Amino acid sequence: MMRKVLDVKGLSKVYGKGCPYCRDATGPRFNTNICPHCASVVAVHDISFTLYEGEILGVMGESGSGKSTVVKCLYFDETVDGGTAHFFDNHGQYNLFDLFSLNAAQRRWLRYRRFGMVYQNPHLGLNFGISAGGNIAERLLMNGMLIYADIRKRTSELLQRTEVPENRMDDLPGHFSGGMQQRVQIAKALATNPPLLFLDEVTTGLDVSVQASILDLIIEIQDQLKTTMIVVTHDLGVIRLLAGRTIVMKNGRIIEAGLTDQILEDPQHAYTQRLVASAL
Amino acid sequence: MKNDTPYTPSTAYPFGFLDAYAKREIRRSILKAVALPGYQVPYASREMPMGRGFGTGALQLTLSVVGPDDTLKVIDQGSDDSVNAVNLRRFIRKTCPGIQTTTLTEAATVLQSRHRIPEKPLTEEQICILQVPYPDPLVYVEPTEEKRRTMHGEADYARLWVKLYEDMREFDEITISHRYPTRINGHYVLDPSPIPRYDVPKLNRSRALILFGAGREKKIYAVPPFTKAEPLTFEDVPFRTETFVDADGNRLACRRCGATDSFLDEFTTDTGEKVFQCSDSAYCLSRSQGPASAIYTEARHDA
Repeated sequence: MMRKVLDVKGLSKVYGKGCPYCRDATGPRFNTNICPHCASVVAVHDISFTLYEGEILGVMGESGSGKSTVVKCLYFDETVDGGTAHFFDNHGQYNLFDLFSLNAAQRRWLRYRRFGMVYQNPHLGLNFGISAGGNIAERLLMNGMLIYADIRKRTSELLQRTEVPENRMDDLPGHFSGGMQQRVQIAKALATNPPLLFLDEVTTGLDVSVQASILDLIIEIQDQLKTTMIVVTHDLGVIRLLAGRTIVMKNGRIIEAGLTDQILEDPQHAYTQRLVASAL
Repeated sequence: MKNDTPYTPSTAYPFGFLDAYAKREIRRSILKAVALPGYQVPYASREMPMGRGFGTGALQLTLSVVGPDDTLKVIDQGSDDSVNAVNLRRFIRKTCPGIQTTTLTEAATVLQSRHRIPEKPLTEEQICILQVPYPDPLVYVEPTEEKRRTMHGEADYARLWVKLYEDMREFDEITISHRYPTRINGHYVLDPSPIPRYDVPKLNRSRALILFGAGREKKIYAVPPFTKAEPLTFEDVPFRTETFVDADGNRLACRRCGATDSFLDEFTTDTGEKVFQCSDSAYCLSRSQGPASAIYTEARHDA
């Protein structure tokens, strides 16, 4: 039986002061997520989904649809305005975390030890002032690994796994190509074998061959480690390759959700139909 | 801490220059700092009749804890005779009528020091007050004070260790020469003022109360007596202090007193020769000329 990892219900996030009409005056029906009364941006509203162990969930949608905001809220980069999210920690001693009612210290603990995040922009995920190895070491040190030789060994293993040449371990990330920076980010995110990994537009802006190698790497990691992942992208190819299930977002709402094949082969919502048709 | 003497008609300010309210506030902050070893207690650092950076933080602490029957020693980088030490001592003598000053470490009840802890082991009867320019070791890795406070609260010092990691990968050793981040009582990491690495082990289970005062940054922190103080390091990379050895591996000796167990300063003579001398001038003098030499030094200060 597959175990639940994440259960999100009614997740909402508004940028701006908000007003009583925000929720009803925005959404796909109005083709906007900007409230006409108060000009607040309803980034996401009433987002619900469940994620099971080892599963990859795709979050798809156009720019500004709120897909990145969902993972930012779950990774505590943003505060939420409504909803609940429960994280089921199946590692070691079983624990249940109500994500949005945790204090700052508990949130940080989860970020450092149970979650991994790969951003579209490597500047958000990596410290460019320290070496690639130092970036990965930071995660290990946060987890209490204080033996220098062990840190070097583990760092080297992670870089090998993500196909970054070992002799580049002591170079600054700024000297790497975009694809290598993403791979270092993935190595950093995997340093503590997190049960839940967020991938936010990891292949956007990379050339096709580098995209393919990153996607192969993600599939390989998922095969080996059975890491549960949420993949945010606007690229249907990425969704088709990685995700078992997909949610499609528009103007901060989920407009369609289901098995990826089903969504791509037989889209029900007009927007999804247009999206799939335009990609073909 | 001693009772203050009241105003005397001949002085325009109370004993210890600071008003009673200021001293009370600083003493309360000291008590809090002692209760939370290594925690940086904010306080309202007063304007002093000298520039920030001259040791105004430690001076305020000194003026708050000394009484008329205390004996004070002021040193600057180990020396009793440097400009900073001499002028601070003069100021304290002027504003604390009746106070005794000394250059003998063992005779002092309160020691104010800049960048060194004396060579002679301190006792339970003594308070050592260190001048601190930058109190927070996390300032290297996190510019925002609010975030630094959270990091201290959660004992989140991973990024300091990353700094050590970067040192190790680049130089195969930790290259921090002074201000070595030191964990106190297993929780807070403090910046032990710019004392050299050589002095860091002296903080560990020190018999004397060690206080740190940062005037510009408005922070007080403390290492209470017999408290554990561990320099940050990796488990397989032991902390090491300066060794002062020559090319053959022999321990260098002080040119004046011949000491081979003290922190040495390096000088270049007029002939270009490199020589080494004890940094702690009182220790060096009492070794080479006997404790009486300190009285001579004291007389010079009086003059």
